[in-house]
Amino acid sequence: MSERNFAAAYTENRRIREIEAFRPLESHIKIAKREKILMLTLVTKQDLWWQSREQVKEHYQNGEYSQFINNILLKKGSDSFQHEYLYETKELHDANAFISLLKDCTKEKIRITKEIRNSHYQLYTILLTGLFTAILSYNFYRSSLSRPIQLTSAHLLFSVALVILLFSFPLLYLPTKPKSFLAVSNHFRKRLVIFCWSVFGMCFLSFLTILGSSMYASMLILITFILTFVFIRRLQNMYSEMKVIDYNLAKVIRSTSQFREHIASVFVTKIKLEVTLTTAEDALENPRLYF
Amino acid sequence: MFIEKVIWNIETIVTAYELSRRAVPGFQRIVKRFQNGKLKIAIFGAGGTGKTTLGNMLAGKAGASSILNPYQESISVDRIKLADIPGSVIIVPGQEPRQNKWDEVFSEIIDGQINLIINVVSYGYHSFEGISYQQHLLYQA
Repeated sequence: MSERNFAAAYTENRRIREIEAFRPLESHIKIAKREKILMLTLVTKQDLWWQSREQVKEHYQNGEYSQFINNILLKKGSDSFQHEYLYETKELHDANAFISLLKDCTKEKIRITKEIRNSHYQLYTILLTGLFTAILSYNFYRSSLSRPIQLTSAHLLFSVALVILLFSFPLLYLPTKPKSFLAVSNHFRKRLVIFCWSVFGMCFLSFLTILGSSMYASMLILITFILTFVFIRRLQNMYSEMKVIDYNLAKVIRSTSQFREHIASVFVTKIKLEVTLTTAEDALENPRLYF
Repeated sequence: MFIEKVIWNIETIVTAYELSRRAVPGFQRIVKRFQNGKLKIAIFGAGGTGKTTLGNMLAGKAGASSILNPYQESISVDRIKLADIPGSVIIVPGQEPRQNKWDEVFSEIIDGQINLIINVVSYGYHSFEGISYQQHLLYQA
């Protein structure tokens, strides 16, 4: 059973239980001796059913539940039995705005986390490429001092670089759906592509170095340093952006819980005042019940 | 904007309450009657709908933040005195095996001792204690 199916089956089962729990209460209210009974049906957990609020109202006000209320009304009469449904809709509608803000902040956090992870990969790629290429270039430079440049090695490296490059492009389009034959996870695919491009970078730059001189090695090291610096700066910016998002997220979470407390206190005040005023009216109408 | 509106509404209700308290001569006596524990609120409903939370909040025993607390099953009928409104709140245990404990509250309803009955429902979104949904009997069925 999937989570969604379980949620549907569970809530359906519990709605039946709500009716079952109300059945004995109904029969006892019908035979109550009190001349005036006040009853409230309070529908809680609005944050969970807010999306289907019309269905919820329909379920309680026109479904099997309302038949029980009508039965009591028929038996006791509207003078002796007063019933009211209580939904806190407006407040929760505003609370939903907080929740969507919270979701937006969370999405933003996920986005920046992914970007930071990708930037880390890019930085590692640059550092690896630069490091290995510099070592290779230095070795080739040293060997070229003692003997003529081996062009066959250069050709071989160039061919490998091209093959790796050609191999890396289809990787970008590998399917990620679980049922596909060549399915791989996005994470694995990214790592594979980064690996391929690193190897390509190393081979191609080494090829250039073999053909050239020590100047290429120096240039490569310089480019690696510049790129590393640029990427580190980019990462720093991302981390500071992450801090701002974290701060906003904490602020939204704090205001959401404060807002929930506020709703609850408003709701409790409302019930208390309703109960007090209604009972007071009841007492004034039927003083003999109280004095 | 919304909070201002809510506060305005509360202020209006409180003002109406104060005015009625001053205008109606018998009201003071009624309040005194309430103070002697005349008002009784019975809270019914299936297990995990939030009866105890509501009862505690009505009685002023728990802050509004208690709605964020995890679910704890009630095992007997709880009677809590109201803090600022005179009277008490009676909360019945909602789980099916404990429904036989409702009889004592039913007898109070029949005798006419209960002023207000609150039936708490939550469109089937009932909390369950301690276990994961995968351990639930309905999931394993």
